[in-house]
Amino acid sequence: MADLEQQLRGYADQVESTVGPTPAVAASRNRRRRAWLGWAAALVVVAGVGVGIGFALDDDDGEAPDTRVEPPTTSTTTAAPDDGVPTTTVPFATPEAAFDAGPLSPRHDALVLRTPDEVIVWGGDVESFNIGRPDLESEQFADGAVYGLDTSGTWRTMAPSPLPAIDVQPLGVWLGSDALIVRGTDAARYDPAADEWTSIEPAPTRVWDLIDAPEIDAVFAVGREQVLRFDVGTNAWSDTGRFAPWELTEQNIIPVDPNPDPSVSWTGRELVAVAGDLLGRFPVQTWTPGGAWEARGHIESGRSQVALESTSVDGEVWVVGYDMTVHVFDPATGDVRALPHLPVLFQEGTPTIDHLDDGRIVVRRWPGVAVWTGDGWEVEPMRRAQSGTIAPGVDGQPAVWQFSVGFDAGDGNRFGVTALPRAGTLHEVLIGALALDLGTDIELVGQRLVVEDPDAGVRTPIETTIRTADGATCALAYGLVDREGWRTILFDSERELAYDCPTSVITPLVDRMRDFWADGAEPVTVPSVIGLAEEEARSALASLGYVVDVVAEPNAQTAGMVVRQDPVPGTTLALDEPVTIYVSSGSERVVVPDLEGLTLVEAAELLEELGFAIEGDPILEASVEVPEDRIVRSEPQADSLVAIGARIVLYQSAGAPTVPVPTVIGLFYDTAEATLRNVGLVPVIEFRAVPFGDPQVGLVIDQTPPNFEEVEVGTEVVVVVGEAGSEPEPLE
Amino acid sequence: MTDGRAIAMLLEETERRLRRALPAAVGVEATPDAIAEALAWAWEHRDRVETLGNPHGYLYRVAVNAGRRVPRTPDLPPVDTASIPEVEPGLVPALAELSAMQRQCVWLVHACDWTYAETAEALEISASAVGTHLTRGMTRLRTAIIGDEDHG
Repeated sequence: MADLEQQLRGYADQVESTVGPTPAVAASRNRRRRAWLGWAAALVVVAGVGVGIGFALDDDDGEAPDTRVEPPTTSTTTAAPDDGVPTTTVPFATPEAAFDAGPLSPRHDALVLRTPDEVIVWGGDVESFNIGRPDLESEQFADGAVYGLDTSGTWRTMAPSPLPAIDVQPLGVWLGSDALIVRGTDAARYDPAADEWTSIEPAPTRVWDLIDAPEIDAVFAVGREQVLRFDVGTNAWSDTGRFAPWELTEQNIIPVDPNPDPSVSWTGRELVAVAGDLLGRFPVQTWTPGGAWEARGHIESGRSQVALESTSVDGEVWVVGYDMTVHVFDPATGDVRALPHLPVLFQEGTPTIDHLDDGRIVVRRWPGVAVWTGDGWEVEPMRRAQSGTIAPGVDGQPAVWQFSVGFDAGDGNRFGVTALPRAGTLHEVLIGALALDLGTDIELVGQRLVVEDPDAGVRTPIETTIRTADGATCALAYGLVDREGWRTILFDSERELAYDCPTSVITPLVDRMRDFWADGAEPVTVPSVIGLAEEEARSALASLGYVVDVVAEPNAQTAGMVVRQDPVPGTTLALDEPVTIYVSSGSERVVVPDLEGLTLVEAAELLEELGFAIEGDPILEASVEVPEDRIVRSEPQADSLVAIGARIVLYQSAGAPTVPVPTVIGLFYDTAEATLRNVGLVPVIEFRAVPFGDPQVGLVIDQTPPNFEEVEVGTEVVVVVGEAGSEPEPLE
Repeated sequence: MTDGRAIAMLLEETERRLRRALPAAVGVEATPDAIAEALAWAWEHRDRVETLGNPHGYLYRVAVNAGRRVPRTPDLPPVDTASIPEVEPGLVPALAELSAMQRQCVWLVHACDWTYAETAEALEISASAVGTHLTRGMTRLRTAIIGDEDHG
């Protein structure tokens, strides 16, 4: 059997081969928002989605994201969380604004359609999950009511509808005297004057968007693979034909979706469809009545954007994606021009672009609205409500209402205010939501949103702030304004709890938001300081008002560089929550220095400086080269790589070793030489004449030092060798 | 300004590595979706991703978090003894017996050849903790497999 590591590798090969193909990104979730599904999915739950208005997210498949929220709190006082932060809910005491509660039960995802003097509210549903009440049955509605704008708040119930109560958000278009309402494939017309419904043929395919085309007395219904044409005069559906093949950039990472969910606009003469593209080449197609869909080249943006929004302006189509650059496509010439970049990026997410009835062209994305001035963009804070949710009553209370303002922010950056059961307030929220749809500033409602001061018994501007128990999702609701100035509300979007928050915390946050709008600076999220030097990172964070904690940790990056941070960049954080930056203390493994020849004190200092510890007492070791008391070597040895903080054993020189001088007298001189070298002594040969024929010739006849004397290794030993004298003269 | 191709290459590499790395954490079935989530996240945050010292480790974490949880025992297929006879069939049940952290350390380091630093980033632990989990995990694996052989 192979060794364990090999087995693991072999098995991993097998496992890898069984993993299915990576799906088109987020295909399992919301197609329209697939490129930013992370926070979009969270928002669907947190905000419960609006009354089908504004930025309400199109949860195409109706699949609830797998996130749970706490049930709505049932009274105007909420329990203090475990951390003991005092809790104050903001009750909206609005005696003068006590509206008729209206005939409709609480719901969201309803059709909210304005007619010249009324508002039609129809359909919708309650997803028990979305309102944090999984114990309740989800419910879909097929009833509706009409709100009279000129009769200042009177409602009348609509006649029973032929459309089904299904979990699909209804769409509607006002046709001049009645409305076309489509839910899924089912369609009907509703005449509010007569309070009559007329059933019409179902659409041949599910409808995701309706586009009014009064010039040709038609309404276009956008499906996934084609656009349908509804003839207003005959109530007949016809097909404009399939889209031409979309020329999308091939991507081997993320498979190209052949049906890319384009944004479609009607210019008055033709339909223009633009699809997002992963490498920023947006294919454009046009269709003119009687013709077929035709590819019209690309808008080259250079920025990957999957979800685009478009609107038609004077025969041209304005397209915007999340990079906040607007491209204008002229279908007559096929020309594309880019407008000046929007001065701020606002938050993440796809912006909406709208050509309002009053002629203004606005790009909206929290927290700002950019209005086209003719040669540039004028940015103003978003003061409009983004969404309202009306949830069923709890425990005998009439209703819970949850009203989110400008909730279209990044993940963990959910903005809004939540209020709790209060008779008479239900309608205020509904009206707030309607106000958005009508393009009316929320200020109308906002000035009624005041805090009830139980002590003084007066209404005061909201200075109580709301924050989460852990502060992590503490967020600023910056859409509610009163006449005195900005109101700031923080709330815990997860638990829907309100908290008292120190002014010291809120003030810099507010200042920062003001700076943001004034300067077009980045939104209030923790910036990335990874890669910066510690000091740079500190000052960058401190300048934004964050508390900085520094933790040193070994890392392969250069010492002093920030290698990671907690929370990660992009997180929204309360200002009293610290940002921890992890600064590299240098490589985890360091080289042991060469200590040879140093004194013990010098070596100890050097090691300490490098972060090592010394293990025990130095070990004495004889050394020829290193003088006594100096360091000879270390264990681990010099130049080896060891972990910082490793313990080093030092070897200190005990000086050179000694040996007893061997006896070499009487040995042949070469044997004597080898004997001395063998014990580390250095032989020095001298010769002394001895008589010719003397047996001592060639032998050692004397040595210095004498034998058995202890000498240091390396000591010279003089050996005297007998050398034959000259041969005697022969006798006469 | 991001060069789309640079990030594309990075994501391609990420996709390749996660296909091998993720099954031990989230199971074979959940792996493709988890990768898609991580890639979507990386694509949205590509400016940030390119500044990360260790993007693969980080995106591994994103992917695992996208799956919301590490299952107690991820679904791993039985050893295909026909094509890899050198692998002990007891390896899979033995892997399932490890703690999630041990299993991921063993898998990333030995099955996927990730460095300790990459593994540490992926699991949000220190490199020395990787070593500890790895040693314990490998010891348990060996014991389990040898035990199997004894009985077999």
